[in-house]
Amino acid sequence: MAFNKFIGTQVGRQNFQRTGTMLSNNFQRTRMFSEAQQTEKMTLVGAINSALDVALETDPHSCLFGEDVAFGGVFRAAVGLREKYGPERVFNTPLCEQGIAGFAIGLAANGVTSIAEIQFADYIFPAFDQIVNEAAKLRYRSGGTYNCGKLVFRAPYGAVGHGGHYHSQSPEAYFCHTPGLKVVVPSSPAEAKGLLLASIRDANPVIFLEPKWIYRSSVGEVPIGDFEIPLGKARIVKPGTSVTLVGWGAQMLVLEKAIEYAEKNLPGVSVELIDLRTLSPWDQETVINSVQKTGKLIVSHEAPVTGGLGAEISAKVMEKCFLSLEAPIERVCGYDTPFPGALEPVYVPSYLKVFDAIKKVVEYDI
Amino acid sequence: MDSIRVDGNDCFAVHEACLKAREIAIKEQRPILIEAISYRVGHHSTSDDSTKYRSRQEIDGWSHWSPVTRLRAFLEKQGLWSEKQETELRAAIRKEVLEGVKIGERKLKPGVKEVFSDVYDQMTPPLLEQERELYEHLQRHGAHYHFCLLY
Repeated sequence: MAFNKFIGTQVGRQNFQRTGTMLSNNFQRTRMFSEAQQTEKMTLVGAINSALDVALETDPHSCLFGEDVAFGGVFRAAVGLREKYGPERVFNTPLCEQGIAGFAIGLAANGVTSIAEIQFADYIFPAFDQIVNEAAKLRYRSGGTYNCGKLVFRAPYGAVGHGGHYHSQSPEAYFCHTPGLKVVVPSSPAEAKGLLLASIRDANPVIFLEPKWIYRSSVGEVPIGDFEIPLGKARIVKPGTSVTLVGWGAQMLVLEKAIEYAEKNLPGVSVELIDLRTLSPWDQETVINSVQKTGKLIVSHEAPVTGGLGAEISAKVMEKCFLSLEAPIERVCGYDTPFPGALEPVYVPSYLKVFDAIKKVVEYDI
Repeated sequence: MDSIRVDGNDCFAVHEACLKAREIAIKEQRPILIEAISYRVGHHSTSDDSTKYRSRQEIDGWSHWSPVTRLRAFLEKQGLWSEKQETELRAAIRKEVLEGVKIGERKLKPGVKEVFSDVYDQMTPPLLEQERELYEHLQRHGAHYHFCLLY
């Protein structure tokens, strides 16, 4: 009896100390966010590079590694960083995702901020056991004695026009389904930089999926210097009153096009567009408040519809907004097939499919 | 495990090494490792510019050792091949490849049903439903997808 109480106090004290540190970090971060006023025009991948640069500069105990990272990475996300921070902090790993993940987890558990790059999200599966059974459960199985916070797995995800089965996947659902992990997907350059910095510094392992289709084509003003966008908070991209449309990543551009088409062809329709940003834990409050206002919800993602994150969002919104709903919730997603090759254009949730869903819900009549 | 290291760009040496290794493996019932030393002269893929991580001199140095070039030089020295035969063969093969390309380009893209076939041996209920949804969608908006249709 006395022994158990002793253990409890020890852990409690450790938790308090850790929480204390976290709170002061949060306070500092908020200040830095408002101080970063000046902006610079950048591509999304350029913003990722900028975030990595800031992370490595501000945290002397941080490392960036992965396949081909040393020469700048196959998407140029790590360009210039090895030259700037040295080979002991920015380096190549063997061609072994399981090894990259295991190494990253061990490094993070020992206090080194680890930014591990998986070259394509499609290649993350050899690392799945390490991520799910080690990274996600380290804090839990040790009762908080150990953790692998400050650990990010970055991976380019999603359709790219010619990626086929193994360069187009959106694996977010597998990771959202794993307690202990956070999953973040940016949709624009400024968002990418702020969210990546927040993810790197989060006290929990984060899967950061980067929309490779818009690596170069997405250009925007990005705050110079250090700033963060908080995890777990969605962004209302465009307010509206008729229907709530939820998406993330590259799909946001498709949704914007669908909204433009819908508001032109369906008079009186005003769509509220939400960028979820963090998929796990997802911002239930923002989505629920929106659906209570509009009474209609559409969720759209490239990943296959069955068991996708759209299903989770639909179920939760149904649960919380049942009496507010004026139409069934629609999901406009990829089909339940592997991502195809030549037939990609008919597979993906195109703006026309989203438009059809908008039309369906606004015209819904029992 | 015993091993044989061989110049991977010398087709006769590789053949010799494989024969020897096979003989040992079968006769003595044990594994043999063949280490064939070679080099990737081309870029990793069409998205790669390998001069970003290796020098031109390195690439050019190794191109010299191409197994195909070396075999050709050997055959020419033996009087089994000539410049004239080389030119004629290249022209004939080029013609054959270009004709194949023409035939291929005339073929239509796979039909939309190929999206849903062979996921399983039999299409499952969700797939049947999704296929129907896609067909209905294409009936409404087919013109927008013209570039990738159809049977």
